[in-house]
Amino acid sequence: MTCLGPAGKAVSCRCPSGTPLLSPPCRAITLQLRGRLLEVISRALDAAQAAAGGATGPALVGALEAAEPAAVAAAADKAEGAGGEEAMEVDMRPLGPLLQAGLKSVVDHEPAAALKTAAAASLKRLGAL
Amino acid sequence: MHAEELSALVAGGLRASAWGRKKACAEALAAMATAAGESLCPHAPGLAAVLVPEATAGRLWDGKEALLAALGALCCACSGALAADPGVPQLVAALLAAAGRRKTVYRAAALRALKQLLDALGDAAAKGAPVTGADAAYAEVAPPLLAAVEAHVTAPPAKPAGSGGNGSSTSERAGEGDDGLPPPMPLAESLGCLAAAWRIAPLAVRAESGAALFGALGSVLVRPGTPWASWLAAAGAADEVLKASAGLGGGGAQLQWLAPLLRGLVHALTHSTVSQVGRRLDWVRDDMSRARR
Repeated sequence: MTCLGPAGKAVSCRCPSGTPLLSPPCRAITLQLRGRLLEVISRALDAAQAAAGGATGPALVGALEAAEPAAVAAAADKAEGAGGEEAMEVDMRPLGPLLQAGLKSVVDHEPAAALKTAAAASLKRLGAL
Repeated sequence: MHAEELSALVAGGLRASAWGRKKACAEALAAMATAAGESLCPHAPGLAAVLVPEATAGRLWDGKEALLAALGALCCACSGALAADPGVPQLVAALLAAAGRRKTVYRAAALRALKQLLDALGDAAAKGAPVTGADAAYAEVAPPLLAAVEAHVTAPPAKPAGSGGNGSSTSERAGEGDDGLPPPMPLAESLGCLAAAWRIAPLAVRAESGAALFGALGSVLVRPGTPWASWLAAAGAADEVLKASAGLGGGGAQLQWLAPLLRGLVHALTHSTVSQVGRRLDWVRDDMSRARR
């Protein structure tokens, strides 16, 4: 498999499933995965903004949260169905604070500048920066 | 220039009784389809008439997946010709049936071929030349593929794998044949096919099916213990679905669909660091206590 390295260049990588993503052979994958996730979050926010009539900031967060109660219940059921202690890992906070905390942790702790910038841009759209 | 002669030779080889000859001809056909592209299309229906039953029916043998790869390459090069004969519903049904069989590499190859077909149909639709029968493809592929995703999501969480693997989900490896039931179709390939089929789904079908698809993508991302490769596959599929929905005449996405997807995305974003750091610290702590003893 080919991964994108820190400079955006393709690097070869081997990261068997189950290997912690912070172990040395998996750093390139971590960067690629988190970059991809931030890209898709941004695209999903574009779609949400369009669906909410162009709303941004707290209005966008409010629209998403208003649309969510049924989704939270379904996710909780599913997590419960998966069973075991790990089901506790699913964070059931409202979507607004959850998104803001996830993106803020990237801005605060992520060493890669490109990821930090992408997270900051999404946070700004949510009115949290 | 010699497409007719080559096609006849390859078709003859695909009918051969020796598996090695079938496989070699399938590899040759895949190379021909990639190199010749549309110039092979007049011969595509004749080749498909041999290849579809050879690839998807009969007993499984080592290397049979090469026939599926050849079918995928042919679909990619000549989707229009194949839509006329044998037809999109026939191709989709044959590939889905192959994807439901027991051997993991074979099932994955069938879904890769299906994705190539769906991608080719999506590309044709994007160029304003929709192919007959393509608009019914989502309704055909979604039920079995969503069921496969659901089966992966509700499977018991993965145990950390100490050995090998290249990112396939645990439920692809576990239970294969030991309970008498076929294992679910491979997760990453199923998600890829769903996203490719979404590109050609009519607006009315999207409006009806969006909640199920976005919910499935979110549930893969939010599932505890999901391997990184499955996260990456789900993120890629979500990206493709969002792009198709945002395009001109794409119909957009409803807020109710987006909420579970965003929850899944942020879960994967958080857990690709914090939980990994936690696990790393646990390992260090274990090592230290072992060293003390």
